[in-house]
Amino acid sequence: MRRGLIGIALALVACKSGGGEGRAGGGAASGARDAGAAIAAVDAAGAAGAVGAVDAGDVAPVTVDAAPPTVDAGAGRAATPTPPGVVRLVLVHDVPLLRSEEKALQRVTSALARGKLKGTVVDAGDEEAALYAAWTARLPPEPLPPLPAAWADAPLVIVMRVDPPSGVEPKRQSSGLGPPVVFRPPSNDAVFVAGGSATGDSFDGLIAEGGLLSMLATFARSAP
Amino acid sequence: MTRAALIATALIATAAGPARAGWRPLELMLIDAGQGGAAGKRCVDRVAAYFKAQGEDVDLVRRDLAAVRGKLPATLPASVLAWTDAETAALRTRKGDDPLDAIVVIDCRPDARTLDVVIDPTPDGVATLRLRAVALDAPVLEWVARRIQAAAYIGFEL
Repeated sequence: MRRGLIGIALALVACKSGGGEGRAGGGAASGARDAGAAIAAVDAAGAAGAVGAVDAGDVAPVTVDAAPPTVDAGAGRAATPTPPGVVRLVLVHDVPLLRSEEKALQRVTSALARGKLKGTVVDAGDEEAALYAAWTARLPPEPLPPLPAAWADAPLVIVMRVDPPSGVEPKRQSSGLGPPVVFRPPSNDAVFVAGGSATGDSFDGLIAEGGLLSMLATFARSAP
Repeated sequence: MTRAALIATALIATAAGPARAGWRPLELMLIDAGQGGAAGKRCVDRVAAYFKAQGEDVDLVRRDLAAVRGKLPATLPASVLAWTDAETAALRTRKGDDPLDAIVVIDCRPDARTLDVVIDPTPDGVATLRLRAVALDAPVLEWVARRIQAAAYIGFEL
């Protein structure tokens, strides 16, 4: 009888310890760093200009130390055009996406196509990549750089970096996305920026409940 | 038989307690930069309410900037977005205890529709969140609070 009780006690203690482990790390952003669809790399011409730099309305620009006043558009990749009225999700990346990332991006693309506010995914042109770099520096750029002309007819533009995968072939793993910057053209002041050491989402995190894409309608709506 | 009953009672009592092995709460200090007046305070209240709703997962300490001003450098950057670990490091340390996991400073100005947040989770760098021209209603602030919590977990160790 005594042995039996000791056995039960040990089993219970073991169960308790095991149950607690699952909580380690709590609510840290997690989830599969698993990502999405082949981006239609549309070679588009033009789009070298800039949307007229709209002032930020009642938004007081942050006074910061010297930042580049303009963004170097470069002469390489041009911005891919998107249809008017369609949200533009711009991905900045220097290396091809992993297969797992392409698959996950397909899920993001599908979600954007299904949403009330339609959206499409494009690869960043050089000007867009430079604008993203300017906005994700330690502090917002001062003065605010103008927007690429290709954004003129988009209700909302989200720019994110796809972090280079970790590991070596054949075991490379997605590193997920860099912090997002969201614009509501024609204003050249970002609606939302996560900067500094802020982390980004996974592709699936974008479309998860409470993910960035759940805020599209809110961000697209002009505040009263 | 009595002994067996006592042991059984003890076992039931311990089994009913919360499982805590390998777990601890995220310890946060939330500071209202106090630039947004009464509306700004309500805004920070909403963010704080999100953390309180996390129950035992988040241990929240709330302070106004004035209350901790003495621990901060004499001159502070005008914008909280320009704050670094140099500004908040002194707040993270605790006498006789482990440092707090993160210091969060919020400058919320609903009337101007601006929100700036700096999150300092480690000495290695701060994360910032910046919203402009967005109505700072409850869903938006809850979403912001989720992102603050994610940033605060950087460097979290048991």
